[in-house]
Amino acid sequence: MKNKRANKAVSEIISVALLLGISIGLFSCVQYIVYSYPYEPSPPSLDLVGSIYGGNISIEHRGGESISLDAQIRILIGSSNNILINAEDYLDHDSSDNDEYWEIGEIVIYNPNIELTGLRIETIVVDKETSSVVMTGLIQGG
Amino acid sequence: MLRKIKNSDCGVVGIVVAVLLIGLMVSVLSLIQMVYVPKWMEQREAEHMDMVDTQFSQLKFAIDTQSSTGQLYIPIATSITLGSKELPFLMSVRAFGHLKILPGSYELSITNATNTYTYSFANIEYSSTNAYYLDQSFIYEAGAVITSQQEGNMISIKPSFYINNVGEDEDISINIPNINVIGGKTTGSGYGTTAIQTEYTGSNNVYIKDASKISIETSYTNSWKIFLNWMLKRSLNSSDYLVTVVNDQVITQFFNSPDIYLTIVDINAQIGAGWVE
Repeated sequence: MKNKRANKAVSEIISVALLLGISIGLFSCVQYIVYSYPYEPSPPSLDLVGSIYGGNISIEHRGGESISLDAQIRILIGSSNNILINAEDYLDHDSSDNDEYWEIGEIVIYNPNIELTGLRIETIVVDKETSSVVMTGLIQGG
Repeated sequence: MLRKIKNSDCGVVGIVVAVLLIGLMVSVLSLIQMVYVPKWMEQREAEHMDMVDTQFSQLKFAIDTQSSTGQLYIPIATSITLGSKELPFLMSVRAFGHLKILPGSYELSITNATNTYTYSFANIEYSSTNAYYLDQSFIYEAGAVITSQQEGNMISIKPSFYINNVGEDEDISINIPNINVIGGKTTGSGYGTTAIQTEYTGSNNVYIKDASKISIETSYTNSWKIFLNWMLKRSLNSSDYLVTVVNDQVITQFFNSPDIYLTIVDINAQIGAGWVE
């Protein structure tokens, strides 16, 4: 009996392989695009309250998530004084538990050594870990 | 009759497109479920914690109003929202809360040369069981509203402790609501809104001359230590007092022997709808 070589199924195998390849390729592209979308952590949820007492500007953590003590605080006094401080350097030691975080009950106290009466005072607190503003507010109107 | 089976590619493209679309939908949904739903729920629970904080300040306002007006046996209800609901779509978990009155959880002792006067008070505590945001408790204790979480606690609304300078002498006025449980209704749990009802029933004034020590026994020593230091350093010299914490006691020693005017305001309280005597 003569053994005949048939090419009948070859094109089907190739087409299935091609379709499978295209499907997997497209799906991988979609997956890659969706999951590589830049995901930034959301700002921490916490309550910071600013006030002025005895010539000091104080900012108190009043509950919510802790943030790192390397948070930066920008204080704008009047129209000319623009001060940038680190929370760690001005943390009130009476309220602090001496760890690396700014937590509930801990107060940052900054003494600008100038008369604050009648001056407009604004503060902005930036959490460096998430690069987000966690407090912005007018502490005293000018 | 044998039916001839034909080779046909009709439908292949449709199936591939369907598979791709389903895959894309699953990807997007799983991304939302894993990343965005926890963020939304965390925000929702944080907002609920702010709401309970506000409701506790309303509770303090109600009790302060009752104390100051002195209207007897008129209950005022303050709503407390125990939990927050889940999202109406996708998968999320509800947050629950527990409100309770805890008798004997705060003890005040005032010592002078002849005697020690000890008083025990109840507090009102809400504690959350959150699924996404950190758990917080709000406590109404001796006229103060305390926020507590795992890392620590703080007084968010200060109690009625005042120092009056009279010549060279100092007097300390302390005004403490004494919460009494009526009808055995001391707890409420779940995620709905419940009410805590309070009514004023009278007050007692106590005068203690030349106090040498005030001792406060509480679960929130850090809050009271910070508050007492803050209050005392505004009016007294640092050599006139010393605040220390020993176990669950905050001890304030006085070296200038101030007189203490203590007012204990009796407040009946119960949790839930309807007043039960």
